[in-house]
Amino acid sequence: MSGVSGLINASLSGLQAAQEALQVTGNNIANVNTPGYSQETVVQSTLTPSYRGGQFYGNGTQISNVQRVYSSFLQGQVWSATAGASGASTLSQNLQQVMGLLSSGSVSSQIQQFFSGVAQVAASPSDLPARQTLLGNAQSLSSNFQSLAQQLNSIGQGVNQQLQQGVQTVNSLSKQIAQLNQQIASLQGEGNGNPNDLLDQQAQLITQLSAQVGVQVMQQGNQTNVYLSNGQVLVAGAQAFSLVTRPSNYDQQSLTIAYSGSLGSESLSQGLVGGALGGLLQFRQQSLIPAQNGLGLLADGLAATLNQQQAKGLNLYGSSGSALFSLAPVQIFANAQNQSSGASVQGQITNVANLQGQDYILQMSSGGVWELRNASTGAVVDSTSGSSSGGVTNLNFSQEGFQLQVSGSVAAGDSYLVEPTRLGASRLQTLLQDPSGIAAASLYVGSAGVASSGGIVNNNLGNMTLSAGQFVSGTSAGAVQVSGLRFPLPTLSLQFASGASSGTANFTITSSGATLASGSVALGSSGTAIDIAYPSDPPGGFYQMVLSGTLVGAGDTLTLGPGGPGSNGNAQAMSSLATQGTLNGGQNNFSAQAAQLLAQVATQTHQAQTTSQAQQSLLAQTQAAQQSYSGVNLDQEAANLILYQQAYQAAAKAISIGNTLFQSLMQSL
Amino acid sequence: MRLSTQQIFQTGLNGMLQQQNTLNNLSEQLSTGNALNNPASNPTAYGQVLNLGSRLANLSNYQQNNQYVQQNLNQSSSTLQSVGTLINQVQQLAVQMNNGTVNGNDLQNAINAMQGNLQQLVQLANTQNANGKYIYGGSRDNSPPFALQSNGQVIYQGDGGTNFLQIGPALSVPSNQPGNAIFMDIPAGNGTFTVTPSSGNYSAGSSGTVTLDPGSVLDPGAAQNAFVAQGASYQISISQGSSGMTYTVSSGTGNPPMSWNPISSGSYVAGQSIEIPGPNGPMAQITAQGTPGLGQTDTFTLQAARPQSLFQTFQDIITALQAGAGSVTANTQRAQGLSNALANLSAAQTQLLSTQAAIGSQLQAAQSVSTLNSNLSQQFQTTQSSLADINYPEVITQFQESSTALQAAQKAFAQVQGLSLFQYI
Repeated sequence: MSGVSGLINASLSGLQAAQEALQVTGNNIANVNTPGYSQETVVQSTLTPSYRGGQFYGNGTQISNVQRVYSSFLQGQVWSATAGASGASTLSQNLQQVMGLLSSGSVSSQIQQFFSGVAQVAASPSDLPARQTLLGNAQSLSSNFQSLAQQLNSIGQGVNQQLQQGVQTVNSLSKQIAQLNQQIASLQGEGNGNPNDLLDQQAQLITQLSAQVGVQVMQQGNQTNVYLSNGQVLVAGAQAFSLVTRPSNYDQQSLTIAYSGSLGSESLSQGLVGGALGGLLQFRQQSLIPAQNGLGLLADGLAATLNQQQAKGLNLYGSSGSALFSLAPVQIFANAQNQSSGASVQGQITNVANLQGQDYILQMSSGGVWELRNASTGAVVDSTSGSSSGGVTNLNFSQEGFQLQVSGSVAAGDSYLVEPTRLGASRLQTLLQDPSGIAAASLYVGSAGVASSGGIVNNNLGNMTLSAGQFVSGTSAGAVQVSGLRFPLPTLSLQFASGASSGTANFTITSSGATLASGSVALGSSGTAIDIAYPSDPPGGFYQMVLSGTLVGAGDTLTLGPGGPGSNGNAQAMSSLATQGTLNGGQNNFSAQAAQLLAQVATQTHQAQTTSQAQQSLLAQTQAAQQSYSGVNLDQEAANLILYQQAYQAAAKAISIGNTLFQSLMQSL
Repeated sequence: MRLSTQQIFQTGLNGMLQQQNTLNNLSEQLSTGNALNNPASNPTAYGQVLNLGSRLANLSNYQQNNQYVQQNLNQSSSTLQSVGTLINQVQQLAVQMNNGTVNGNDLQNAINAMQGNLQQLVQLANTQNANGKYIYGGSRDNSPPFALQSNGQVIYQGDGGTNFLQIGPALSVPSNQPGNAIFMDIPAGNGTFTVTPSSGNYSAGSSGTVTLDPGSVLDPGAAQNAFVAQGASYQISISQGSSGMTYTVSSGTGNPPMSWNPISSGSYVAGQSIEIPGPNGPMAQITAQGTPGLGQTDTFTLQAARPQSLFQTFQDIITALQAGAGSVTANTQRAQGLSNALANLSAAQTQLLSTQAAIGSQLQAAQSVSTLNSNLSQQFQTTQSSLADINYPEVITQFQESSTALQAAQKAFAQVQGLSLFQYI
């Protein structure tokens, strides 16, 4: 072709190319807000020229390719940043919930209020309104703990629901990705151009998937394979592997993620990071469970310590104080895969100072040795063979502050999840309802003189006295032990048979004429301890009073009467528990423990917020980089419109000139 | 760098959202005045605020206890002051009645007055606090600790329980004084022994006027050992024979002694001190006044001092006054009884004063601890407020800055959106 027809043909190809370029530009403009859309450009090339008369004459132009401006590197960065940002923001939002709950739940101020009530009882022990206030404070303390625990539990249930939703979303996304793999394969198989829009859709689906869970993407030919962050396959070519949530092996209430169907029931949760699912799992493991355990530890500590102190004193009825709070048992779950089903394990808290707020895995090894592992690190923290009696094996993990009883036969390798403090807060109840039941009084009060017709008659010649008493857990050397007492406590009489002003003086302790104990005291010394065994266990141990003085007359008598309603010895001891280090190895008092728990959650929340912000700005940066490469710029498209419009106009003009040329030729004929 | 249109929108939007977030935080801080609305914004400060809060709560408990202790001590102190006044009155009355010129009428009036005094004393000892609790009942503070019986005896129905309250870290102070220590367990006589006249001294036909003072201890160790530990009693007999007056000191053991064993003797003149021999020389001495009747012997027994209640001392005065007036014997008997009672009164006064001195020093200590604690409270509160409260000028400035920045971002957004090539083609 040559001459005028060449001009027209070449112009026509220009006209077509401009039209097609305008269509691509229009498509770019139309998709300016389509998520995941990559701008497209036309690749224009010349048509094969004609060789004529030793010269090459161009034959016009063609659109050789509609190219998608896409960088797999930048897109990969967007995916990983999306997973990171979504995980961090899930963690941060959930933690914020826990933080708000705990800080508005005012654990600290409730504890302070409770002890202020105790202090009032210590100040006026026989005042019933003060005792009523103390019980009211105890009630509000325990219901506050309960409601906090319930709310934390419901956050845990919320985590389960979010996991279920997340898994559903992941399944639907991976299915769509697999379908796109199939479509892309069939379209690309026909040769020619790339199905740009499908590829964009697939990339966008993977971005959405990344928001749910961290993934790794592998390109294999024209197929995109997707793996979970822990390497487990999610999409392989046209096949999607669907996931399910199923109850964990130990705690049925706690959901974990696994493959559905016959692919095995092993939990995939391990090593799953990024995305909402990763954030949720991290939140549950590193924040929610420690917060629940920490709150439980505080509740257990309060219950156990105050109950012990209650048992050491006398209530207004003259008997030992019954438990103020209920102490929750150790929560234990058997592994669903255990060989033996008949065995049962129970547990109690024995020493709150040693509790650590950890969960443990208890496993019996082949040698009959029970190993206790830290549930989060897997490290063996303690082991024991236990002591067996009556078909029950008692495992005392005193270092961890609890003991367990195993009954029934257990196969080697069977394991149990042990959560010592998990139930502490939710099961904390105020058991004592009767204000007279508060044991404010000392067990015994010493007075000089003989008890006689309801009064004390003092005819003592000497100066022997009994100190105010205190609880001791074990009797000391040289102490005179009085045991076998029962409630209501009898009045004891300590009498010296003969006088002395130096050396030692002998005395006997009697009750209604029956001799209970006898001993001697060195005059002028620091004295002799009188250890009165508690009639009840708890608390076990002794109530210790010290007898001392320098001068004894024959027949001198001291009377030990049970503490009256106005005695505050035990209430004072209870009040001083507010400042005593009772938890965390005896380092923390209750308020300090509460503050530590709250500060810990606050620190975690702070870190999560900071991380989330950093991840968000990282995401914004990678998105900007990706958008700056692949995104549509309307100004650029406007310029392209002008460019292609002018090319179109010029080509049309060329055709019109070709036409004029033809007409000129035709007229001249 | 090439920007995509979406990116231009997004960047502008992000900027505005961020500024809005900041503004929201700042306005929340401004409206609450609390810098720690979101504890996660400053976990360290939050932890410190919580710890300070618990220390403040402890301090407030200490202060509450302190107030209670001070109330109790003040009430006890003023009650004991009334008791002291009462004792002074009784002392004056006893001194007035210890006089040969008083007549039966005077005595009867004095007895009536003493019975009133006894009742008043019981009332004071049964003082109740604002909650209706008996402050001198020890641990049995629900019922009156001192019961006056029809025979004039008073029984202590409380016990020796002392309560302690914590008014500072590791600082506990007693919040009550058991009544037996104040009213009941008062050392009688001179604190080591008491002097009891033999009833024969005042029998019909007796005309002696001998009285003994309460005596004083020269060798406390020996005296305590003899009287208390060994349970020894001593008898002092003063007789007037034809050849003059003599005294004899005898000792004995048992209650009452089966037999008396003379250990020293000598001639007697009225107003003389008689020594009780001990292992290291005389262990006590007693001054005797008056003379026995001719051919008669006045006998006195010295025994270890048992604690004697203030009530009993009042009752003893009544008994002494009931001895009557007019005769030499009655006057002598009354004089001896009142002398013993006065010694006991002065012992009670001493006991009272030392209790009050203890209360005074406890009050002072409680007050100084209270001042210390309230200073500490103030300091903690200041620290807490510096951590938890916002600095208004600073936050207001930040608020202004943020709102300016938001306005600028909005303006910039609007302007940038106006820049489109499409407007020109």
